[in-house]
Amino acid sequence: MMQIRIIGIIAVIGFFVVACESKSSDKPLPIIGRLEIVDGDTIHHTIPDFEFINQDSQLVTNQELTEYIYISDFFFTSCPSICPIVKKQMLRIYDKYKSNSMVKLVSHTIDPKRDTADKLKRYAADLGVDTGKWVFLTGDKESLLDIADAYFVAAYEDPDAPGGFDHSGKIILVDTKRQVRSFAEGTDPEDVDRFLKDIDKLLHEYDSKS
Amino acid sequence: MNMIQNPKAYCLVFLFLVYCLTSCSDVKYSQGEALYLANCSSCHMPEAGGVAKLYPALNDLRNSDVKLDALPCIIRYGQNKDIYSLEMEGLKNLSSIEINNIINYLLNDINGIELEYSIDRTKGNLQNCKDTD
Ligand code: HEC
Repeated sequence: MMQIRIIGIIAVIGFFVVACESKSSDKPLPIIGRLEIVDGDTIHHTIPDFEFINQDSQLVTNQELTEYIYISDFFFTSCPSICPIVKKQMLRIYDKYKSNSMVKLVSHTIDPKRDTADKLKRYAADLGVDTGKWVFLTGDKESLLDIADAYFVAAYEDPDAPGGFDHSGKIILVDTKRQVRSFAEGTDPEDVDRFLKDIDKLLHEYDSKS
Repeated sequence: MNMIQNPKAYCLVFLFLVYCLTSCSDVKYSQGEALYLANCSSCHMPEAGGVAKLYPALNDLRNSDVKLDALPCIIRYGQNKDIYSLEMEGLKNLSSIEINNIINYLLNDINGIELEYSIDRTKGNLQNCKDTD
């Protein structure tokens, strides 16, 4: 009787110790994606070149982002399903890093036909965010759907899906070298809690260098 | 056997507590709640707090411009006010009874407005929708 109880208590404590340890590990964030070996060098997956238009109808390329780490998502303004929930989580991230000049947020529409620059501008205004920090991108539909793929986000046109597009609510963390370092399920606030810690960890990599 | 030493007794107490925590929430209109969560919460959020000015909050109807008699029409036919950048499409698949359930949940459980919105009121308002917008 007594023995069983003691074993039970040890098991419970052990579980918490293990669970806590794996959470607060000091390992750096992984670099996500397939590795390629070119001429003996390992090449990590990176976000390819892109050219999109922001909410002010200005051209935006990777060039504008090289000095920042950024958090990215895919949505469309008329999306009836998961987008509002994901946006709410993006807003949390925005609020947390509002005054950190290293961090940007980049939202891509996948419905450029309806989501013109003007529409995105109004959307950003209603969201109440500073578009210097959080940019909203539109552009050529094929390029937008293609770049989603590079961020490991499934996005495609589907007449049967709510709103005409099917896509995942992933939120993606990209470092200054265009490398994907972490994901969150944008519909799950608890997963975003973990993701916020990943962002801190990535920021830490830059602290220690400067 | 002594009650305190009987692990089964602990188990029962524990299960009882879990049962309480999950079932003792005092939602008055639980059908309305289920319908709200299935049809509205993705935009207006589960606690009805909305998202900034994009998706209006529905948890402060006392201080909002929305008239109670407009609610059935908004739900069935949507709304597109200039002050919001987005449009809400109507939820045409909801029956008047389902709409009525949602309204009662919103008023009583979310807003704490103790008011039983009758099915006749919902049906009457639905008949006059064209006039209101
Ligand atoms: C796809 C997202 C979406 C869904 C789903 C949705 N709404 Fe809306 N709702 C909106 C938007 C956007 C507005 C603001 C529309 C406008 O006037 O331009 C709005 C406005 C409203 C308003 C008026 C609020 C005001 O202050 O003017 C009410 C009431 C409302 N919704 C209730 C509901 C209810 C009840 C449901 C579920 C049956 C629902 N909505 C489902 C997006 C949605």
